[in-house]
Amino acid sequence: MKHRRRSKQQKLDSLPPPASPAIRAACPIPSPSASPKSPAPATPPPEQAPEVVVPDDWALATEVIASDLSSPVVLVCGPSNSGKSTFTRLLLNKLLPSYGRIGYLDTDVGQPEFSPPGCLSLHIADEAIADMWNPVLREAERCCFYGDISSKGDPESYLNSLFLLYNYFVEKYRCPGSEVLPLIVNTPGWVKGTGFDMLVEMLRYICPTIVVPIRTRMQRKNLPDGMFWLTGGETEPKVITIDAASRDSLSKSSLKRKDGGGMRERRLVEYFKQCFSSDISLATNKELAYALASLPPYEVSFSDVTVMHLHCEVPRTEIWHSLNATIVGLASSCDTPATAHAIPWCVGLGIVRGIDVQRGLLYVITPVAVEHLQSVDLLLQGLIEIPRSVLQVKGCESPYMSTNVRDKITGKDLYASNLNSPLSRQDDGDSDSDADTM
Amino acid sequence: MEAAEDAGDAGGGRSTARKLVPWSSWEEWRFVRDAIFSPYPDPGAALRRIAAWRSRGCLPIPVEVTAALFEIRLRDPFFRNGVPSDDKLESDEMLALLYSMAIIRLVNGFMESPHKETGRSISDLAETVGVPRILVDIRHESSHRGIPSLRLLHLAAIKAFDWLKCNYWDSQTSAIPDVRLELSSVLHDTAQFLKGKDSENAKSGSKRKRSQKHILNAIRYVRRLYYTCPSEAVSVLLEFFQLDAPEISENSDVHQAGSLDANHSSDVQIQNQISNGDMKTIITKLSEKEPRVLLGLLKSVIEMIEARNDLEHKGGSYACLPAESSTMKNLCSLVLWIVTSIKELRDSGHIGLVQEIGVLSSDKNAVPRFCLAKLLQKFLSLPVIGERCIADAALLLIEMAGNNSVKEKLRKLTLLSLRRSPKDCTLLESRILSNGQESVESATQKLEAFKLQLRKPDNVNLAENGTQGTLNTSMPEKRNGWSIAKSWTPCPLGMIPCSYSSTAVLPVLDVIDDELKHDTAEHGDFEPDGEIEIFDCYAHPEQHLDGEGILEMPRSPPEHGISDMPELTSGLRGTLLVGGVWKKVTEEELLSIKSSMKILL
Repeated sequence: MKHRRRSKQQKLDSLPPPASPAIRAACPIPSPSASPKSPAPATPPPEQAPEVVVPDDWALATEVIASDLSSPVVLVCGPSNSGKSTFTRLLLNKLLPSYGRIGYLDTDVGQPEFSPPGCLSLHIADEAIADMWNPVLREAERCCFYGDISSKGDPESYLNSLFLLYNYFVEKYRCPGSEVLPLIVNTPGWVKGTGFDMLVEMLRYICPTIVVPIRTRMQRKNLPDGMFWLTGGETEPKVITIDAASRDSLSKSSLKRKDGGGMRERRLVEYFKQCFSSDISLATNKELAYALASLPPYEVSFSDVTVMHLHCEVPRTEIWHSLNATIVGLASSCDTPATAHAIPWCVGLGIVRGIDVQRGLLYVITPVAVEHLQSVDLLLQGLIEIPRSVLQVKGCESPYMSTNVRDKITGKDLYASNLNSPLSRQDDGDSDSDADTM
Repeated sequence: MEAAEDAGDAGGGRSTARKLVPWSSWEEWRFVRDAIFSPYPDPGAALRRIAAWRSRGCLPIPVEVTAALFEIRLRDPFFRNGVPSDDKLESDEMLALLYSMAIIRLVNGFMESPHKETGRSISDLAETVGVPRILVDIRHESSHRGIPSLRLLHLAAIKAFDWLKCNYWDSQTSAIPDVRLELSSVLHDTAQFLKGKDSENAKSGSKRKRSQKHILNAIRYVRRLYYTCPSEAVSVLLEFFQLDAPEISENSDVHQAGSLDANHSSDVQIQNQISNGDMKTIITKLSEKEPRVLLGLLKSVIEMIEARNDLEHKGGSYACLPAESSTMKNLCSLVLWIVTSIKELRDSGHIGLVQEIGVLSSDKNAVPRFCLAKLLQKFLSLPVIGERCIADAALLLIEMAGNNSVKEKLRKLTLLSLRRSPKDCTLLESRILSNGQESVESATQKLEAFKLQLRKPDNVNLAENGTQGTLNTSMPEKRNGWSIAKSWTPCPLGMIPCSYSSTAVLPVLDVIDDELKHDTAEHGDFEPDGEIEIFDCYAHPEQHLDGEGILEMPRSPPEHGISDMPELTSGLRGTLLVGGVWKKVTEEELLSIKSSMKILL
């Protein structure tokens, strides 16, 4: 089963490999079920934790990177659902024994590795990742709240936040003379059009020492071969191309498209579960929803916070209408780095669960510790949608969950009641589905 | 039950599927609709609110496109009868681009997903659902060829706007469930049966059984409505009480035919009247399942008392009219009845008193103790505390709350009652009395708080802080950044607990303007909609006094059966009593009143 499929640059020019059975068997899919229908790494079967089978070229790639003893900066890129996150997890575990601590720059705002959605974050990992299949929340060293699930809305702020985090890392952890940490950069799966341009900018700014493009079998989805971001003259990084772990990319991607919103919702739910001590069991969404409704929130006076809308203009008279029952980034204006384009560090997310205009109080639910909250004076409102599951529990439904909403063409309209079209469904999870594919 | 189900159908069919929307209530939605489509539109208000909705991230396509078309039309001289807009003149090309884009959004927004799902062509689909062909053509033209002429676009814009009005705004309007209507019909139905049951008490067992079952079904239906929209349901329930009747017997668990002839309010309701006794029976049954309905009712009644009291005080120096005072008496006796019912439910175990509601407490019928303290405080702060019923209700609360120190408090309360006993004097006098009494009241409360503290070091923090929270809201001393809210009671995200009744209320979210703040603290919200927590005059006594000026203007004896007016239960905000009728007023109107008041003074 050992195959030296790809290593370094000599393999760069080759087309996607022929579908060799050996590669198939070696894909990191649950070992008992090697059928083509097996789920993508991002969406594992929920019941048993499947054993991870590492493809040979992945193992080799991590070997090669680990053998680079000069604290590499590794950037992993590729189309969505090609296994970038999974590879970075593998890599992190591989590098950890030699370095002890590793920087991890998470730039995928749609599906961040250690943060809730909408955040760009820098982590200093000193613990191996146990769960290869699911992202796990970890506290960030530094975090910027971008406030949307795709960088397409505001590429400039996105890149600025990213550069800010990178600079912070370089200043703090890559000073010559002190301990120099390696860095793993995970990138969004949006690699076409503007997404490609942004990836190029990212690559040019960060100048990674190793780039790991992951290729899927759908050639038109892949990044161009070669060092597409170089204009010539720069020192060339090492490029290690590997193959996507999942073969059936067509069905996978459609599977993921449907699930993107669901995954984000689960992550947010998981994030806000941290508001409760771990000995409280919140097995179901219903329990969590009720617990969130019951939890005494933090209260903060209007005069102590400023509300910033990141992606919309909101008239001053409407700010509370805009803010009530939405997710905000909690940030502090005073420790905004001087070099930044006025992007404040974010300490975490909160739900503005109620507003008492007469008393001038905001009620906020957040897992952020109260001592960290004291410096928070900015509420950043983005477009991160509050999970519907926490808004409705019987007898405690949020007023923002409404019945009898008629704002879509329904199947009834189309067929005059002759068939029950999926169009009449009440929930639409497709509002963000094109985030990765645009 | 048939009737109940029919009512459900009449209301457009109740779907339980919920969807995330950017508005907090259908009233808010209607406010925007009317600001766009009414004969006197308010474009600024509509577009501002839609901007807020957009920032919430779930703006429905039809709303988005309506807003876009509406805004473009505002800039187009064609729709302004040739009057150029105040700001920059848009060129024809610019307007054509704007219209084309809005129309593309309209067609694509509606057709994209049906197109993807069915594979049918856009024009085919458009024809099926009645989207005007011209819109589809413009989409095609402007996407693939050239921008159509402005003349054509004007025509198309009118069609698009009409189509949206008809296919979204009107169709949604008719789909909004009418809780009021449904609940009314169920209540009447039930009342009918109650009457029947009463006269047929001697009838055979099977018949009785059937009517029992019928009532149970009706109660279940009411319960479901209460689940969907608690505050609306409560306000409808309260509307059915004949509060302006000369007298409600305090122990009327059996319904009285006598109250039927009491309706001198002479309304359309005459044939539909449900006696207060029947209402109480219904509510008692309902509260066995949903104890919290009582707290909601109590809150509304207290609000009515406060509003009422404001009116009576505004009435001038002469004593209130008998009709009014009987309404007030009825309200007060209703308070006592509700508190009695709460106590009964407590005694029978339907309501559990707990120290604090845990986040995982599945017992939705648990009421934390500090709520009683808050309620008591509210009672004591009511201007009508001298009313026997309120004092009795307060006593009952005390009985429920603490056992040890009852005696002490009892003594204090009897003292209060005594001081207030010459209640029949003029209002002016009672006013002074009530003012002088405040110190006594606060002393009582403090004492009580101390007692609590001595008794249970754990719990008191809550009770005491709760007390202080309400007492000191106008003082800035406890503002030091972020702190955990005191005395929280569970309520849905997006709502806040009422300051005294522990029911969830939808907060008023309009920004209070700094200059307006003084005058508008009480009635300052110009939004003519929404379930609103009537201003807690106790928390801001000084603002309360300031706010009086607004209601003082119309000096008409309000004898028009106030209790029949829905405004009272759905909030007085943004309304002004003109000639005895509540009228919605705009900010500008209020401001002009304010300025003319200054001249008067």
